[in-house]
Amino acid sequence: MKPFTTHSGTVVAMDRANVDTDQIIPKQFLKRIERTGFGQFLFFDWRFLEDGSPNPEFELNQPLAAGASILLARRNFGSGSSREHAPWALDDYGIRVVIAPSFADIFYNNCFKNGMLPIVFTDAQVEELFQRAAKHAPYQLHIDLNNQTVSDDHGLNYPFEVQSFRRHCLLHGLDDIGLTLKHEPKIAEFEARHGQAPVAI
Amino acid sequence: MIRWPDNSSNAVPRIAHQSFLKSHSMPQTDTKSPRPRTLFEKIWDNHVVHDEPGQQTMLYIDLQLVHEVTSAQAFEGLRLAGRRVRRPNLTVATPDHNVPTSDRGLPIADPISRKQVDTLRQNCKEFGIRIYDLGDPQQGIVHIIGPELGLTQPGMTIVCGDSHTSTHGAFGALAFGIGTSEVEHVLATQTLLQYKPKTCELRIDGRLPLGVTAKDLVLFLIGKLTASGGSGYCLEYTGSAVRALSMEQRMTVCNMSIEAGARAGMIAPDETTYNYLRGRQFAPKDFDAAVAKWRELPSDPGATYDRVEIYDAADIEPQVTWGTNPGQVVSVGQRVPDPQQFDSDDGHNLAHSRVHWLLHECPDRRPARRRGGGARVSRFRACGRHGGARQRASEAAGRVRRARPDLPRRGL
Ligand code: SF4
Repeated sequence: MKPFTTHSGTVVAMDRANVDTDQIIPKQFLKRIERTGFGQFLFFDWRFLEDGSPNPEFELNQPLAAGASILLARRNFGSGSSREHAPWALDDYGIRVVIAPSFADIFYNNCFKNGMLPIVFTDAQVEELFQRAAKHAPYQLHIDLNNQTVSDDHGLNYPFEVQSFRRHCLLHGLDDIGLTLKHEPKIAEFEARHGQAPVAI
Repeated sequence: MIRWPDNSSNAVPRIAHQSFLKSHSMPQTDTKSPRPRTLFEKIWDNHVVHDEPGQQTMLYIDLQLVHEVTSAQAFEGLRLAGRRVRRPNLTVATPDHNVPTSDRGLPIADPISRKQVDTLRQNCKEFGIRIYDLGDPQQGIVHIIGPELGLTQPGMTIVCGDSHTSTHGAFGALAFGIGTSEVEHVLATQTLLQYKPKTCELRIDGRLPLGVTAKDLVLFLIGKLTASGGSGYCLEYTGSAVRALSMEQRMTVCNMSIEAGARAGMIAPDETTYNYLRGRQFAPKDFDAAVAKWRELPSDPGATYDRVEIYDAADIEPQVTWGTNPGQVVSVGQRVPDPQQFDSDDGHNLAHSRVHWLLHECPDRRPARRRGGGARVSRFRACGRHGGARQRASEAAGRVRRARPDLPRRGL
């Protein structure tokens, strides 16, 4: 997993609450055998018109949101199913940070597992960010995970909370497997003691 | 690309039974407290790699079975992270879900299924995993070929990206289904992070009445527990009625543990288990030494479970499910609930419900009629994905046809 330390990028403001996983990645795209390549289908039903052309109304298609890597949304982002394809799709599109007043639990966890940082701010702070995003578009934010701050070029500086263990994993790019492999000597020692059951090669 | 020494399907497998037996005969459990332990506790304790209070336990996995539906993204995850399969020799693959039941010489018609099977083949080649491919006479439903090959053995931890992995518990193994990210975790580390489940003993004393099968037994238990009642537990089926079951019947019972919401179900190994395994392809070469170790697995006298339920086998009648979940079951002599009492959705499903007559049984029985619906439930079906199972089903049907010429031939 790629480590996350600091990130600066353009904000795409999605003034929507309850953005659910089926909107993030509609279910007709789940049959793929890859975990990459979902970015092209991100927000598919909103992003494209019936004829397949980009929907000019949709936030991600705004010229000032081009290349956005920070998603700003309203409460309960990522609700719906537990599908891990939702963070896969956001990640594949290039989103590295999602900021919202609240997240669905599983989605929130899955973000960390995939090297993305979800940040929870109060409704008032999120509102302030929306206003600044409109005023200063294309709006840039700077995220510093080490110091747990979000700042812009116009004097804003918000501290944010993140569980220390999760922060540690993100900073070092440790996914579950990476964490387990830190215990490699223990696994090897166990194997030496346990032997291997009689299985084919 | 990693290549194993000989990847032809006729390759004589290299077997690590020497070290297995040596290690399994080490008195590693003697250092622990002499507290009597259940079968589950013994297997769990024997596989703890790392344990921290409040955290999930890191358990060692002795065997991972892999199929085409839940593995592709796990392998891709490994590739993206530049990781390898830690123990390819503890990993066995077979395509068994999206495979044709006939005309296997032809390409698979459904493009997604074809891609999944091709991808599994490719991944096994790349990561050095033994695959029982289409066309291999030993290919089959993953939970059937594990036992048939003798890969499934008492005391092992076995996982697969499939909820019916509990089937292997019939051999006194701890076996359960896992999700795709866990498949990747096991591939990369040969361990799994798990919270310890609670234990539940389901004891069935006495003898099952004539014509009452393993399927009836387990449906009866699910009816008692409900479809979620086993959630959070590892079930252990005990009692004389369970001891009397064949291995195939035990597999049926353990397979259905998940239908009661339990991830794992197990039956302690005994002579039936050893007789089944003796001489199988991957059974330990020094079989008697293995058996001597396996004999230590059954729960100690005085071991306690978190929950115990006791039933009398004589009370169990043939069971029929009528609803949309396997906890909705009645004895053939009972009435199914009145469809009027259900909303239209339930009523619809009720009308279409039928019994999936679990295979590997050869009941010599009266044709049972489901009351209320009138559908015939006495039929022998094997999905054609498994060559051996199909064969046994048609043999069973033949035996019934001969014994009961009065039965309708269709559907048998
Ligand atoms: S017939 Fe049913 S139980 Fe038997 S192998 Fe096929 S799916 Fe499994």
